[in-house]
Amino acid sequence: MKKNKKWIIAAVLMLLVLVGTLGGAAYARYTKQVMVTGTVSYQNRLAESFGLKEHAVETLENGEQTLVEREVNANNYLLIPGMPVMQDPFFTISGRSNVKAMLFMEMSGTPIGVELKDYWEKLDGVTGQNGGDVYVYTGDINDGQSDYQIAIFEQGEALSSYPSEIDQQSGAFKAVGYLIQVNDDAMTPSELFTARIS
Amino acid sequence: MKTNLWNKISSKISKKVLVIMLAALCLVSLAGGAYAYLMSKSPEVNNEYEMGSVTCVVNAEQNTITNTGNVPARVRAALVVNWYDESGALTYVPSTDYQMTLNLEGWTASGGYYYYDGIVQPEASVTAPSANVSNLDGLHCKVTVLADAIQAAPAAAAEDAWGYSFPD
Repeated sequence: MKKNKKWIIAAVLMLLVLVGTLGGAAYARYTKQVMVTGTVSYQNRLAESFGLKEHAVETLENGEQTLVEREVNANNYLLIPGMPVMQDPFFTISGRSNVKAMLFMEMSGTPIGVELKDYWEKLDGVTGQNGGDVYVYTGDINDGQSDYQIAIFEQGEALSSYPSEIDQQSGAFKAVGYLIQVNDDAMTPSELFTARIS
Repeated sequence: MKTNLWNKISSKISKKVLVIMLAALCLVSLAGGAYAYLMSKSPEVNNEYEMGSVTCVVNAEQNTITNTGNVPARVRAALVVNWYDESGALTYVPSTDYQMTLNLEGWTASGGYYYYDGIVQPEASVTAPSANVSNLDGLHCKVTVLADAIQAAPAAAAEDAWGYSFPD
């Protein structure tokens, strides 16, 4: 009985090897029979680069704050009554491939003095890897363009007074983006994000 | 002959090993399936907010005013002249009874205050306005500098609070 089982297992393994070999042979035969002209490419990425940066903020001698050309991944913003809080984090997608994808943004903490651009739609009940709220970009990143620059915030109005929602010592926010392949058009953004990230 | 060879091989491969091999095969297949979906995560941006603060300190020995806040500030000062008799008691002396020479370089007098013409950067100091007062017999004079600071921007902040328009 024991000997029979071993034979059965061995037979199954051999069958698998046989099927693989035949499959390979068939594929090889197929490639030999068809003449391919032009370029065949395999898309194994969504974009050549996917970044999130913001311009550095500097205080001028007259006390006004301004964004300079230098790009950074962290700023320390001063909250001054009567002045806007200059902050402009933005995504850059370069060399976008033609694989269908969605852009998600996770926001942890509370941004002060700014509003999200209206093309960010919050996914209710979904949290990201940092435990923050998740938003989906409702604009189009599948329209065949190669490069995209997508801002997170509308530039805010001047602060009329110190925000009450933070204490007098600190406040912060953290943002991160996820570019995710859409392999099933029937999936909602929430389902897609939850399936791949959460 | 063949059967004997197989028997020798199969007897060395235990059932457990075969099961483990098959399980590993399944796991590899599943993992391959999971990685088939493309995904990319961006770097993070981490931002902090700091409350702007405006404070200043008068250093009487050096006769300076320092912006101890974290934003550029406008500064104004008042000079208070007090007279003391020989016992140290505060004594009233009309301003018409003595001569006072002011040193107001960089400052503009308006409404009893002296306004510094420039903007004082955080941690920077400026020379405070000063006064030389003529002597009066039997009395001792002490001039005290009192200073206020307010955020330099927006410019309307100082105008609204102090009613004074600084030169551009």
